[in-house]
Amino acid sequence: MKKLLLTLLFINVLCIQNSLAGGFKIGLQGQKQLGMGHTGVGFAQDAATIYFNPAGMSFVGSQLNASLFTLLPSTSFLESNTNSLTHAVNQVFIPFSFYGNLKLSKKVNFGLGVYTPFGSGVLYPNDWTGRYILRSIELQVIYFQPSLSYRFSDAFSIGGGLVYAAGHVDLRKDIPVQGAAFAETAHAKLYGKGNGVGFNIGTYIKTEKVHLGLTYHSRVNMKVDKGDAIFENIPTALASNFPKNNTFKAELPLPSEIALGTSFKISKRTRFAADINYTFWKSFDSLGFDYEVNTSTLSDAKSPRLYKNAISLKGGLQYNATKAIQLRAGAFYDQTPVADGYVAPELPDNNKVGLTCGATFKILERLHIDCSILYESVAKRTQKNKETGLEGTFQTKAFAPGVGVTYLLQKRTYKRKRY
Amino acid sequence: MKNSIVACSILGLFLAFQSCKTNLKERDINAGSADFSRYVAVGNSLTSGFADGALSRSGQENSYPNMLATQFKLVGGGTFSIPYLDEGGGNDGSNNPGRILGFVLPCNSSTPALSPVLDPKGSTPLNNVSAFGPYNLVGVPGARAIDANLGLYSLLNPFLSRFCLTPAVSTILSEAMRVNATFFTLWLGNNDVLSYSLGGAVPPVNVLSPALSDTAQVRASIQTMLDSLTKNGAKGAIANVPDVTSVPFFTTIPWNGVVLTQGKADTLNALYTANGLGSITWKAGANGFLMVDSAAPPFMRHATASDLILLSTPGDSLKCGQWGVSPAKPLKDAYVLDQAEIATIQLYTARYNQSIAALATAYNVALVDMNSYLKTVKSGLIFNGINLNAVFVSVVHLSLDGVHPNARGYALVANEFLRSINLKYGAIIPLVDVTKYNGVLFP
Repeated sequence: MKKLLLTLLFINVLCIQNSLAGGFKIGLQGQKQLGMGHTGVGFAQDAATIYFNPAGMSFVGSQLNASLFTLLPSTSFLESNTNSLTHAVNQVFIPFSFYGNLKLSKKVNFGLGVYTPFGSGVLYPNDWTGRYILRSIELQVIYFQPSLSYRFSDAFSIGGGLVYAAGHVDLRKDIPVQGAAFAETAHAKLYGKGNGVGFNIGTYIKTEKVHLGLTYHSRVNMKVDKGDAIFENIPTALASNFPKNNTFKAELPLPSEIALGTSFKISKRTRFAADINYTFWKSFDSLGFDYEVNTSTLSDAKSPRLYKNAISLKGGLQYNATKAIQLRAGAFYDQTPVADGYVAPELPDNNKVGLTCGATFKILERLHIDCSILYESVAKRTQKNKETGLEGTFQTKAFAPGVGVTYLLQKRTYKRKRY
Repeated sequence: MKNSIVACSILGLFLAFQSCKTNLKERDINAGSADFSRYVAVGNSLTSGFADGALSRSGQENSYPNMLATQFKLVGGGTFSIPYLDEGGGNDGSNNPGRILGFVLPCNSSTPALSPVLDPKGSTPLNNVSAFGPYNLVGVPGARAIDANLGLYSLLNPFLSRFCLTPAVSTILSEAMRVNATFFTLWLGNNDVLSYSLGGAVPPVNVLSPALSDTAQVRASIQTMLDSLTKNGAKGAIANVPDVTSVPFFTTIPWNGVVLTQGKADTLNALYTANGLGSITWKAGANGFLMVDSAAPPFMRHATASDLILLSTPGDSLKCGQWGVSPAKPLKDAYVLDQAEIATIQLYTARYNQSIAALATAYNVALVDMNSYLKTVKSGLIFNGINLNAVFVSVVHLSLDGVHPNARGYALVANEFLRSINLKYGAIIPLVDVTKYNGVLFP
């Protein structure tokens, strides 16, 4: 058994870990939680609860928790008309998280979370048929969340934190303009740094048998004030149409979300957790770039996205195999916020199903190693984009293992379990 | 035990990696009930790859028949022989090169403006390549449907005489028959209305003047062609005639291009009254060009929204030479299509297309409705993020002569043929990737 678990750990280290949840949300905020299908709103078992439900901090001892993920998505596109298959270039993304939870008094806990809940990235080959729509995009957002929780009783707490978000977006596409003096078509690069603020609040009820949690993540408006708009390979005749050193403004609303979770024992050693999330994607109705200098060919771009609110369902099991080893398994279903006719190369989204597993090895009394693996499949989706006319089938799969450490700052105060 | 665990783990790892890869596959393709092993393309300048006012090597390479032949090769098509010109600026039939986009100093400004100019590479001689025939691409710039079966025509047309077997004897049809084709595309009839329209619909003076071809003759000629081409069981596709008056050659210069101040209008009105032309008045703002009209009382009138001013009108004369403004310089009939002329041209086009549709049914070949398709392109078409529309000298599908498509436009034409062929013969032939072809090249 031990060998098998070591092998499992080996796989975790070798492979990489991640999940792209619905839209451009990334569901990779904790190792233990991911192992159970990314549940954790109603199951506070480590400092990652700062993200999942800040009220849960009251029921977790002082500890530090860090983890690293590597995301290896694989995306392909079959153009219906030309029957040509495009494989996006394989890329590695490294979402991460860090959480620290400190007991300030019997009633009050302070915590800090640094995590990456949103992001997206895809890079297509240079000559692919959609290059006038998108060559590549990279969106990365880091949340910093200082938090407090207050414990009213042994059974009830509330918690909340302020969110400061910082990130960048990098979008590249070709422009269907060919200069006689250039080997390649004109090309646009949009790069901007942005930031925004929000909050995260929750409440946690803990009874002997059942835990319940409710969390609300506010919307965060990421604003790019002065991004660089760089145009390359522009023919002299059109230089005034694509001014040099142009800048752009953009706004990306990262949607609010409400989550309800529960967990309960189903046997002496086994605990079940389930979450239901509802994300208000409707706020993402268009993606716009407002250029500082507009010309007859360079008008402010506003392309409709019309995302729909989406639900996701998650469930997972945790099994205390030995005193030192916990095993986990879980699954989730994520509804896509992207409507038919709006699936675009920047996010070839669809409903998705994920399977996860994970383990914790308590190698020292205070030092635990967590690991998890995710396999995710975004169902094939065939449609014609209403704005660009791109017609075909997108498919994405992701395989993602991850590893993390948890360090307990205080000795355990609870009674050791005996098996 | 230990070994089996290791073995299982390795296998598990392998399967895990395998299942993370996407498994999209190209669709199976096939020729349906058609046989593309020997394909011949018959037509006029549009079939030859004529663009930017001339036939050139790069135009021939980017011709729609060459694109079709490339796609046909995916489903059993054979070699496709093209009567190539040498590299260079091309040839318009009178030893002028094609046009490229360059800078020209307008008569009324000191800032150079973008305008089509003759290719500085110079013209390419029309080399004689008849010894290397037969050719699969029988596209003859200038050819009308009614010329296709005339032996004399191969002597008159330098584009045909350079590759046909025996000038004065060979015809467009006889050249096409040399390939012994299993599949053909036929697109003729455009020049039967186009040359007349390009000339401003001036009444023909003699037998060589551009004229609208007689509808019965056009039908008879196309019927003869289909008769011969299908004789050995070959299948094919025939395209109809687009509305020629919708191309930029006729739509670029606005009918109301005379923009005046009140003072200037007053001066003109005084001048017209003094010359006894008081019925023609000018106002501040946009005015229709003054044009010749034998039906109007003083034999001239303002152009209206129903008139089309041709791109052949000398631009500097319009801007600085008082053309269309001065009572002494009304635009001549050769530079304007009026409402009645447009109606006649469209009526003939419709009659040709009725014949073509009827013959397509009679000979059981695919009908490519270019007339309808190019109307949809004109109203704006988006292909994988590229906006295509019929605006002259922009990011579009038409070349610098304002009539012929550029490479990107010919790719759209090829796809329209493929759609009809796929439908008619139950074939699955992939379309051409339009994004791989250039539009207008900018300096």
